[in-house]
Amino acid sequence: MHDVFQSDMAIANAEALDMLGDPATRRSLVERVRSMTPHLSETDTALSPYIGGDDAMSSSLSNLMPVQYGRTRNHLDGAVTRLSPYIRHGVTSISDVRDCSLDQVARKNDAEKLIQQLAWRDYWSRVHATLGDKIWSDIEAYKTGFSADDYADELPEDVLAAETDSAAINHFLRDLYETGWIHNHARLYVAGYICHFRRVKWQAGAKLFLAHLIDGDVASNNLSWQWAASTFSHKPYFFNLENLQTFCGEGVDTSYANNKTLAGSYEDLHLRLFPLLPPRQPASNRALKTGKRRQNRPHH
Amino acid sequence: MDEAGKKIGDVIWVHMDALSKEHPVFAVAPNARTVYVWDADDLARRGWTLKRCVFVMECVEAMDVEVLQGKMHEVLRDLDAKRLFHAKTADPALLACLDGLESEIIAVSPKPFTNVPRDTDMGRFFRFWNKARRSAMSPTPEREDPLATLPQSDTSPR
Repeated sequence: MHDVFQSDMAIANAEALDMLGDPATRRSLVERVRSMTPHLSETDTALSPYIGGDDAMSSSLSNLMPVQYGRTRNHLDGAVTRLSPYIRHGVTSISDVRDCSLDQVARKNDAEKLIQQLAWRDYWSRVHATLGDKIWSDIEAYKTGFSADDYADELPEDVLAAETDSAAINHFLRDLYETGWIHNHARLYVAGYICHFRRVKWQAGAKLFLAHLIDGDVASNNLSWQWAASTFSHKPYFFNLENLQTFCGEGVDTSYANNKTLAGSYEDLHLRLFPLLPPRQPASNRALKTGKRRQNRPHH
Repeated sequence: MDEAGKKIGDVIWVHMDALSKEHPVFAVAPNARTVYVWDADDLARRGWTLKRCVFVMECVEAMDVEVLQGKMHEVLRDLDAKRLFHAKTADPALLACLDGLESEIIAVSPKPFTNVPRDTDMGRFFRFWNKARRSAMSPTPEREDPLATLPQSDTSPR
């Protein structure tokens, strides 16, 4: 499934290059950017399939499918908008995307899931405006049984090289490094893996994402990382292999053999990842006791 | 300054958070000189890779604005504009570039997405969403004259 997405991106890229008129245009622009930006390494050569500017943005906006988005957004091959790079840099606005969404549905509630996700961006932005540079600090304490000092400051080499003990995580990291965009659910998987399976400070992961994500902005990025880490949420975000297998489709290697570290029930993983917390009860028990729904998560 | 020693008039500082001529700042100052400052030091500090820099440059080029190179604060200072307009941003690094400038600084907000009371609890998203839902689910209200209809805070410095 994920390969299908990659093919779609390649087609979109080719169309966007056609819109620029001359395929050499981008190469010329790349050389200009290099000459104006001395810090860029010669070994940094990856370009995103996303093309900047109004034309490419309008193409994505015209493909907006609010109803399908609401139904499939958590799947890596779902009908997500691919507008995030353009929203992040103000090529379009969340207000324009909202208006376009409302235009495309018979009943406005059919667009609610998509508009609610746009509202997450508005929310993050407002919180950022309040926090300023403090957005790089833990807003609250970790709710993992550990203190911030228990987490490593730097990312392990195998994460930077996309050679971890999980083939699926490596897949997401490679996509991040090579294209500058990964599905939001993949971002959450990576964040949960780095913070909780590897016990690394969220700030290290947030910096990695900001370096690579074409749509990376400090507000949405850092606060989403803090949400996953539990420093801006009630509990840590983590996942298991079964969840990956449900949402990843066939293009990502989610085999047990190559993802053993992620395997297990939520109760078992909770015990392994957060040994200082009280054991987690099976979902059926928790639902009976509290009647609570699952914690809602941000999605862009 | 121009040759007569007067400050030049209006300048729109286009920055990386608002790379569209549809932003209301262009309606507020339609005849202003428009500049984007390519600040390599700022990009290095952010740690952005080539693909991020290229994407931004493509957006800038699509806008057909003047691209100047240098440190943002110094370039903006040397422009010596009488009025400097920019799209409102929460980015501390961008805001820091405006510190100490002698120009009148005018920040223009984007089209509003939601309308929530000032005392809305921002501690968790769904507390915000419960207040924001009604306006978020409605089309964006028209603003025929963005400068005249903006709240005071939107036209004050920053």
